[in-house]
Amino acid sequence: MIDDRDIYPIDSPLIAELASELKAKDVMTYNVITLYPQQKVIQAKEIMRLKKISGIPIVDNENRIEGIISIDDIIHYLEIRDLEAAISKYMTRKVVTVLEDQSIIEVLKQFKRNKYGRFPVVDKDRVLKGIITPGDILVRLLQILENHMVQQQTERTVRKVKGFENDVNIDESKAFVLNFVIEGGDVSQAGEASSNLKRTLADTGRYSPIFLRKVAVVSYEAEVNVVIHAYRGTMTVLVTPDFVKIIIVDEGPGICDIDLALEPGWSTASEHVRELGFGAGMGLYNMKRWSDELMIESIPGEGTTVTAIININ
Amino acid sequence: MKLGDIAKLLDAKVIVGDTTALEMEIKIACGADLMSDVLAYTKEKTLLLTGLTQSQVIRTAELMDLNAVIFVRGKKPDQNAIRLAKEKDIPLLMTDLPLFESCGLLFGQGVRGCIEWRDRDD
Repeated sequence: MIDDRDIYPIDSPLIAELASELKAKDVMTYNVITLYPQQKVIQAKEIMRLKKISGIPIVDNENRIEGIISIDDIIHYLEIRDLEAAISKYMTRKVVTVLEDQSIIEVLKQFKRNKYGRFPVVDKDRVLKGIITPGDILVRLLQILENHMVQQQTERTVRKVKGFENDVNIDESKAFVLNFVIEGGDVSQAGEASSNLKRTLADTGRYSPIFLRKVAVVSYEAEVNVVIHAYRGTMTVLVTPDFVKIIIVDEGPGICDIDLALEPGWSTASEHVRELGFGAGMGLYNMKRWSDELMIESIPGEGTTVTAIININ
Repeated sequence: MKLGDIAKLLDAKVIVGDTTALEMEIKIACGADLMSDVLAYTKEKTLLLTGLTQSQVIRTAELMDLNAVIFVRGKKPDQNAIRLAKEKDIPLLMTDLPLFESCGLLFGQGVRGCIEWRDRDD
């Protein structure tokens, strides 16, 4: 039970909006423990102790509210040591209830006005439908906020940084694919995949040094990014007679703000990574500079895919 | 300027590299502690002067076709860096001089910078 009344004033516009849309019935607990007026107070006391609740609505045979018995009433009963007493003798009869269609914001105001820890929720005939506490409201609002944030997070962002305006037709008979695995975490190993890629291309003797350097920079920066920021990744390189397409897919935190990440000098890398001469916020900027086409796709919380095309001529 | 003459000028010790390597002609050099800057701006056949000593420096030199690496401020490369440099055949030197003075001495002898910054359009 939350007794701190200071939590009720609402400052957040989002919470205020949620609270005005939500109704008591969206938040309340449905399975309410109830008792009849003729049952004994000692039963109420035991149920409260065992179920760890602080109040029980008292209803008639039609489930209409007759009263409520709370810890305060129980204390009174214990002081008097009236062991065999019926609930009707000690219960509070002037019960503040809320209607099931009342908005949460009104319920919160009720909690602020009255110093009660719970309200029975009733329909227009005073039939009990549920019970609501400030804690129920808080939990529900937090759930909604959490869902809201998760939904925002899983949105895929696609940013065509450079080029990618037209689809390219690839003659598959003249193309080949190279695959590399990149392990995250160990910065001292970063560069293995890019080094292998460059050597493989260089060994064919078909490419100019400047082209090989472009491929090397783009793949190396992408590889370092995976090692620094992600858990693991793959680099797939499609080599065609006209261009190479480098696709780096990682499982990692993703990029929250791609435009910001593209700014030279913007970085979230650790001090350790910076000591190794990286993490200065130049990676994506370098990739943009040396590639002919660049596209970044990211799902925050899941990972990032970087696709770069480098033309051979 | 030959790499061997540069070694004498900077009073540098050769860690990796044979006599053939010391005959290498150096026209362009770059002083940087940030590998991303090296990746962004250097041209091939460049001498890199740096205060960083781990294997990423060698990796960068390899990928960018740099000529050789000189470690400044008396910094000694770690064993991984030396092993990688031998494997990739990249000469390594070390000098006690700081980066600025090392670059200054080379510039005085006609070695030039690696960035064509006057022509940059980005």
